[in-house]
Amino acid sequence: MPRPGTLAPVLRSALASRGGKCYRHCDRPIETRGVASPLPGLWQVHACPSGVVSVTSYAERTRRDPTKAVRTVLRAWSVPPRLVRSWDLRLATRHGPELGRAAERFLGSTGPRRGVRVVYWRVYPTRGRDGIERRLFVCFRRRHKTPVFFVAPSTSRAAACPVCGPRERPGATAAGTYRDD
Amino acid sequence: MRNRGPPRKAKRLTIVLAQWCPHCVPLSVQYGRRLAARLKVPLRTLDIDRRKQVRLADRLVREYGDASPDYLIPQVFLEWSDGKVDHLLTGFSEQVPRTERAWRDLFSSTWLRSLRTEG
Repeated sequence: MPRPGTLAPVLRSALASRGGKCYRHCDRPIETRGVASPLPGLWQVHACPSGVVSVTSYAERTRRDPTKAVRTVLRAWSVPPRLVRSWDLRLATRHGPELGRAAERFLGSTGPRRGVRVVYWRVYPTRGRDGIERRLFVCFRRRHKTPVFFVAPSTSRAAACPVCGPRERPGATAAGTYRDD
Repeated sequence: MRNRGPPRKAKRLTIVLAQWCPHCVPLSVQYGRRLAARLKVPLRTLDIDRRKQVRLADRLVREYGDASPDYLIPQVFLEWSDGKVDHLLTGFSEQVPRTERAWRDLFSSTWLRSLRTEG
């Protein structure tokens, strides 16, 4: 029996969002990556090949607001944890009719008790007193079990992950920069 | 017990939006106009950057929508003759085309067809 809150395949498919380009950074295609966590729902990190994060989302089949739990997990993944501000977490409820016929049918058949709630974490770029723009990056290298979110200058080609350090392969392709693939 | 009163009717469609938001303008305003026309109800937009409108918008979002300290826009609501309010849609933060897909799915939904049949 699936864990409460887990999304059925039809809902995962309806909520999957692919495509798009890295807005006002590199204009390269956004890649979507799933992440495992202690929470039962679906995590999706949308980031460009350089690791600049567009948005991170968490979706769960629930009536409750999962924002607090999401904040706790994201803080555990962020260096420093204070990167995750309540202001940047935004809730959305998906009812069914806006998710396509298959998802609507599925949610309708399982009763209206639990919709799908999605929490988005979007951190907008900031410019410090030094005039340098900084953005949220993510590192997926396998040296750490979880993704690591951190802020670095937007122009940085080799943004150093605060947990595993700068990349060691200067000639690596952009897509491979933040992975051990 | 079944309600035997007069059948409720859709009364007004409201979109909470901002002019600078590409998920809102022109996308959601255009789809909102179409949906309002189909339901034969007026469309109201509440701009979160206008002082008088933001109060109404905040209340609608807090009571019926997806409330957060800095909540997502657009949020779309359908008000009914019996005073009830349904939250229909919140913009998809991933990207504008995803929000457009949600609008299109809403238009082809069983939910909308059932409303039109009732009407």
